[in-house]
Amino acid sequence: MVAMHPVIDQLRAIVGSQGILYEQDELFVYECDGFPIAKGIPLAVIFPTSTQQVADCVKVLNQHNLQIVPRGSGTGLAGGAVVYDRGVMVSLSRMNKIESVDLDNRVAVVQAGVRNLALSDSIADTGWRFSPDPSSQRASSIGGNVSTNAGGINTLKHGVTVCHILGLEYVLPDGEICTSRGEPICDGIGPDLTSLICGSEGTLAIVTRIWCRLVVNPKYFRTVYAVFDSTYDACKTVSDVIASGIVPTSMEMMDAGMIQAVESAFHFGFPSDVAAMLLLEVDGIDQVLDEELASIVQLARDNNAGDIQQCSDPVRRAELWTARKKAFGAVGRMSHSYCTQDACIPRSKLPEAMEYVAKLSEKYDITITNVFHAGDGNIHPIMLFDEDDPDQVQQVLLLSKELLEYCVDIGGTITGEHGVGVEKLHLMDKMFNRNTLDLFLDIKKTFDPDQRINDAKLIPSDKTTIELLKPIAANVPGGAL
Amino acid sequence: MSEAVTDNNVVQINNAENPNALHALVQQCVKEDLPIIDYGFAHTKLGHPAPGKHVKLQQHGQIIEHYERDLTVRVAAGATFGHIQAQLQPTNQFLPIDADADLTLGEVINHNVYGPLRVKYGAARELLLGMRCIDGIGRDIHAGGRTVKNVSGYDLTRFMVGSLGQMGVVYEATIRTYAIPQHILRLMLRVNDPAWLDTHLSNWLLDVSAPSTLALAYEDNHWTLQIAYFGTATGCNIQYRALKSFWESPVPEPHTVQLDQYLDESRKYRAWRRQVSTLVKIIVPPARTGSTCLDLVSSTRINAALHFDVLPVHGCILVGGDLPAAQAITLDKQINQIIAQVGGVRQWHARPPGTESIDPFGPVQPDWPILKKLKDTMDPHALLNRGRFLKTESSPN
Repeated sequence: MVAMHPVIDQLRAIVGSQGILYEQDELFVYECDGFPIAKGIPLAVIFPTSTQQVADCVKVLNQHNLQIVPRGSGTGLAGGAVVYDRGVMVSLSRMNKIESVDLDNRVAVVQAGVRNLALSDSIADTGWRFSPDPSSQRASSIGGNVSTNAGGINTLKHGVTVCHILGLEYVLPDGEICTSRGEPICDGIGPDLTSLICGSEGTLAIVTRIWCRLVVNPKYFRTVYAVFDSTYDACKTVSDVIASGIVPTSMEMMDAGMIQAVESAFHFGFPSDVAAMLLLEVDGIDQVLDEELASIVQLARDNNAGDIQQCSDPVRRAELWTARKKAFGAVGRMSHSYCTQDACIPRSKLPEAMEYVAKLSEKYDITITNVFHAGDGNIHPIMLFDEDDPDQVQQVLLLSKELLEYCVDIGGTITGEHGVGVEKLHLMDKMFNRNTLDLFLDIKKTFDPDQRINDAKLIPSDKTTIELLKPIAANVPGGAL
Repeated sequence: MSEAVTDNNVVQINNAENPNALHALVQQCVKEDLPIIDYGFAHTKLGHPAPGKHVKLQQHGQIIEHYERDLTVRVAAGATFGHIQAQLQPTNQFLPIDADADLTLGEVINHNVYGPLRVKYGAARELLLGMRCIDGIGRDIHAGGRTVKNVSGYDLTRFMVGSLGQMGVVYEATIRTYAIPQHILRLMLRVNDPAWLDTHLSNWLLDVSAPSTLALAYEDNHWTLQIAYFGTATGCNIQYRALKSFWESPVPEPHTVQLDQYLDESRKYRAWRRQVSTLVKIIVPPARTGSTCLDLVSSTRINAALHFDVLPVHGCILVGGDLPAAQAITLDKQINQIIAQVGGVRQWHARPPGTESIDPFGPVQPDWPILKKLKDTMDPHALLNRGRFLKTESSPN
């Protein structure tokens, strides 16, 4: 029998016996997030219920020189919440209280583990909502959304997570509790530290409390889907809509493989013999939405759209968006394993980029299907493979690398909303010059001199090397998109 | 490149705007221990007096590349808003930030300049996509890019917004543009009690009549709401009719204006800020904006001399006037008392002589110690805008 690490008792004293897992068979579920290629078993997982408990645990973990990995709901898609080197995972899932909702100031204060949709659901009858809407929003936590600066379907018009965060409370790597702009105010003084911590993937501090900006929940919508015989035409429509100056609420695209997967799984009535489908929506003043939509429909027709279905019926609308949000779940019926890429490119480059994706699919003999935030230029090629086949895994990694390098070359980025995690670390030197990478590491060390919090995630570390391919067999689906 | 020096404290005026020239300037200033003060063209009314001998950096520049179909534009930080808007206009696009024509983009980023357009379009934090700067040891830093979503690396782009030039010299930025609205309706509404907004603004924002831009001004003892609707003619007229139903008293007829006319009128309304000796920006919880304004008018007893530009949606109050030192100090005390009660921060932009006792920034925020450490990391010699905000060990003054 292996002796229990002495830190376990100390942590248990802080979080209670119900607040810690350390038996091997209990830990397997925490070995990875939604990126199934990166895996690592933590020494323990703790479930603090307050900021003070997080701070106390961090101090104890520092005494033992252990790595600390924060985790929200584990829906990340880049391996950002995987524990290496037998570190300890700090799960924020039990910090799930909505502490206050202040509609006069249009702000809600929540603990980091509150699920994204739980906040909007809790204020559904007020006319307000929390805008960020990643497809994982039923499961993902707001702390996790902050950590990756999550996007979603509505970000085209309403912006990514950081645009909706007024302030943060966090625990620094030495256990100190700090706040940035922790009031219902819209600005502070000086550099915007809240923005720096947003999207830092838990590498600078552990976010424990969030001041969320609430926005008007639109009352009136028009939703339309248009089908195309070519992916190029669908992408050209997206590019033309953006160039026209119209800002839809959302503009999403599915290719033939994805339409068929969704249709066979959920039977929404989509045509199965088309190359691509655009699903888009406008919101605003009821009486002018038809006018706005007409311009978009004309652009679609100009690009050879086939069937175009419009709807303002809330039931049908809900069905359409359910189809979009369930798309990733449908992929599970197509493949044993899958993972997705998350490049973001200038919208005008979408047509050529999607042609390039198709070429790579052929070159590496990996099936790719696509469902993505077309209006943002945020592509999500989903690669279907068998994770028990090392050759296929290798092909997926090589394909991903070539694709992301191409996207950077055409003015894009390696990640639009999923984060770098461990998955894209090797591409950071393609994305950034040496000076910038050095500064990133300097910033990391300013917060975390011993590089103990989620080291070697997001930015390359000079202390920790992560072996991406660990030979642990498990079938983990790709999570939400 | 150097220009004639007119200020005794300025030992050199430098127009470096490309990374190589800025790198050389930083190296020279490290060697000579000379602070670099990053000036825009209206810096004297947006910043603070420069301490001691320094190099005055005054960048120029223009649009580098306009990605017209992507509605983004890459701009040298020294480009003025007048230049940027003039270049964008023929493509039916504009940069939706309320900035005077002679302000540079770098200055707008450093000072987080915004106005009523923030209601519809957000501020620099929401609009900036990428940024390039030289840090205090001469490193050429590239953050963000030209895509509308980007989460690779730390978000240094947004971190720089409002940084008062403390962390690096921004020399280039990529920013979103928007289509020029087809139609703009503008109107003024006299309000007797600005505190009404504190309790009713949220409901107004939920209504069809919610404004696209909104500001509250105070002049000659009267409060006036400046309202505008942006959109199609049909949409603007529907919103205006809805306003007549929503508002409890008669609503005047609106004026149809073009965007440049709208921007020009906005500029005229804020022109007083450049002319006064006293100017302070206060940020309070939005639902305390109106009551804070009333408190300041009633308690300072200097109301006749005060101007206000207020953004109720964001809790931002710019207050100022030509005040003697004693009244400016009284105003500061009153602001501090209000902030102690309701929360918020305040930042002095201009102070009359004799008010050196006023700390320009306050109250002290819990994250300033970390910001000071980051300042030490990015500017270890404290060259950049030394002494203006973050006083580090290298820069105690």
